[in-house]
Amino acid sequence: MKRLLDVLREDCALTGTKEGCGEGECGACTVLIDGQAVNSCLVPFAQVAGSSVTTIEGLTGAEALQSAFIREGGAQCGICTPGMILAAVALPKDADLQDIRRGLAGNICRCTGYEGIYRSLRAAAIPARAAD
Amino acid sequence: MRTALSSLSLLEPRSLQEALSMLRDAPGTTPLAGGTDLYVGLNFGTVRETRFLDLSRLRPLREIALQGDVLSIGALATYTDIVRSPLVAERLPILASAAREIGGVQIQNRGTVGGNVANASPAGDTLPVLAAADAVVVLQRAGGSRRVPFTGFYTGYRKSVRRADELIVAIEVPPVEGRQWFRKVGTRAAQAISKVVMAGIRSPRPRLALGSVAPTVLRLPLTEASLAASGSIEEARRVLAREIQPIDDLRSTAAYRHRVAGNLLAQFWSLPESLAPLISRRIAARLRTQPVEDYRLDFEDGYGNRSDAEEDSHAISAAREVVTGMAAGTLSSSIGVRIKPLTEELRARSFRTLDLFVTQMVRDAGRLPDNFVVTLPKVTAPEQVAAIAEIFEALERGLSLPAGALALEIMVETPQSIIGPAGEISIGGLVSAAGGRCLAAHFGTYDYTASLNITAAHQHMLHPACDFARHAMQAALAGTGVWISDGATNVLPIPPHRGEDRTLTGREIARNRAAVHAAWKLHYDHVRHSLANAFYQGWDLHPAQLPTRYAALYAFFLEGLDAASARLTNFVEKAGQATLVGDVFDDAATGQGLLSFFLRASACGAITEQEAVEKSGLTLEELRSRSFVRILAGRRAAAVRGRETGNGSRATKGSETAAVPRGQLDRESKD
Repeated sequence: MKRLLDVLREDCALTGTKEGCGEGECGACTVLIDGQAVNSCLVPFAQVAGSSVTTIEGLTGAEALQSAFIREGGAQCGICTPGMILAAVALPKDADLQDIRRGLAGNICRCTGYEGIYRSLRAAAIPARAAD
Repeated sequence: MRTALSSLSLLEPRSLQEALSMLRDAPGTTPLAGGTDLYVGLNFGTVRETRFLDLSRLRPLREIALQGDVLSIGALATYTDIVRSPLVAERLPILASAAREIGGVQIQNRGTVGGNVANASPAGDTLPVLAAADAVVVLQRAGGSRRVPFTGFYTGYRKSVRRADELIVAIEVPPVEGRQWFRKVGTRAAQAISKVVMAGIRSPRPRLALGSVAPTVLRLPLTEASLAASGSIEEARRVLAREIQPIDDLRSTAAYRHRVAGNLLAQFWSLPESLAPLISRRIAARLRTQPVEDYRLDFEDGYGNRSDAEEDSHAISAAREVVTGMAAGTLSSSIGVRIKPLTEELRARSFRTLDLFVTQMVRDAGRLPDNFVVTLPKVTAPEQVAAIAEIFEALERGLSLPAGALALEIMVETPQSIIGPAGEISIGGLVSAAGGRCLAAHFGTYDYTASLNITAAHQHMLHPACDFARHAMQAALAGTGVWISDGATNVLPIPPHRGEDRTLTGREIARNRAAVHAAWKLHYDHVRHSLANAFYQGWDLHPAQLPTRYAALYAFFLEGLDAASARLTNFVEKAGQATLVGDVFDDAATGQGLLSFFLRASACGAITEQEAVEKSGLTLEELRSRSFVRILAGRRAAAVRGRETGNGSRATKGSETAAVPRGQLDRESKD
């Protein structure tokens, strides 16, 4: 009945995934299971047997997004950032601002707000879309 | 204090049968699906159970399918599955609305509808939807199953009729008739537990359910009955206030919930909805019987410039198609052809197509189709109209048609067709140049606005420049008997994603739906604008525009019906009295306007002639006289006769039907 979050942080020493609220509100513990964003604090480890779990440490191909977070002020105090990035990666490629807002609604920033984060996503999306 | 997770045990069945056996053999085992409720409890130490049954391997329980007429949603379908399901979008779209507002994406990817039902929270967002939709919970145990109506499923706060050895395997939803409505009120749009959540189905038998206002989700049979009986929202609010039992808690207060529940009820019931079923039935009837009144074969902008040989062959093949339609009786009641404009470059081509088309038709059929008309686009000068009238004459002589058989319509789509070289209004001159052959003038939005240098983004039917042109046409042609017609909406209700070689994703379906709805709304607004400006005719470019054409037309007349009814009845009565006591009644024009409203409404199929009689307060003969002055004269004579014979009552149909309650039309038509 161990949580996926605890296995990642304690057994795998992958501490990029953060624990925030522990009740599925804040999204700091977001990881991808088979490409879908989930709150790892609410996932029994037994349920991921045979699935592919991606944490911030194992994320590849999102360098443009990560550098946009740095450049555009999307990374603020940093506690929400890994979750934000993973939720953003799970967005559809043609996401507009409304899709972004909806897709990140489960990720709460506790320090400065969302504008820098949305800006980062839009900045990163332009070259990514051109490359498609 | 967090529960020590290592002290808990988890059973991991691989099949439904195995799961049911485990539940039977180990009573008190708690089923675990997406974990989004249960793990919150475990993380906060509020869960007492210690044995759990993992359902995540029971893949078949995730299916959403139609079983006959019933939508069956597997208990393990996640909120994301529901949002993406085309079946849910079609059958129970408010379930998708509810799913979309639960938590964030991370929760929607894990949480399941079966879990929402099993968790039995009074704030569960899908629960009012399922309650209002008369859903059924399918419970299975080793060796049996049963179906429990949703309204009988919960027995108290977080308590249900599910026995310890039973598993919720599916939710079944019968077909829902009526307009569905859902609204969640929370602190913010996402990630908020509802303060009040409501689902409603608007139909002659309204259905309503509320969450977060009682220990369980509530169906509201008394409020429903009140709405169905009286339709009075004030009365229904009073009944609702007695039917719910909200409490103060950390999310809200009882007083706030009472207030919001009442407001939601009013919002649900105030949807401009009461006419919708009636309008939709009449649209369907109209589409079955006479979807298109008038039809044009286009050799101008819709056709383009092609080689002479190609246009020749199309002119002939189109004529043959029309002749086939004449023989089969399948043509619209009027039909015509639009030729190219009479500019220097296109004149010869335009005449040639007209000649080929008309000649072929008359040769094959021996006559023209009924109500045949030729549309001349981009008219800039009366000489063009005179020229086409001459061509008509020559064709009529050559084909031995009666003189004047060929009728013309002009398109008003150049500034020159509104204002002439000397600054005069030119439309009258254009029409008279046709020597009595011109039956109609059509406004052309896009050429007209382009000629005025209006940029593409602003070239639409509602541009004030178009209103100027329409007003000029209308004033110039008023009383001439020449019909005026409005232009077309060029944003078509066509879905952007086509599924020719694959199944569309839920997202694509949602975008398709949004695109079609937006184009429909635009078209509807354009038609309403035309109607408000007394342009009762208009052109459409695509068959999918017909539903909104008729929706706008019927809504225009039906929404105005009660007011027009009251005014006309009152008017006829006052006019009768005024003449009786010797006053001058000088507002016959208003009376004629009200009479015309009923005549037009019944001519387009918004109301039947019988309803026009009932609602106008006139007799059938009076209505058919089409003249308010004549009606008044008739009534005056009747009143004088009545006074002479000592019978003082105004023995008219008007005073009898004035007593007919409003809304009768609605009720009658629903039967």
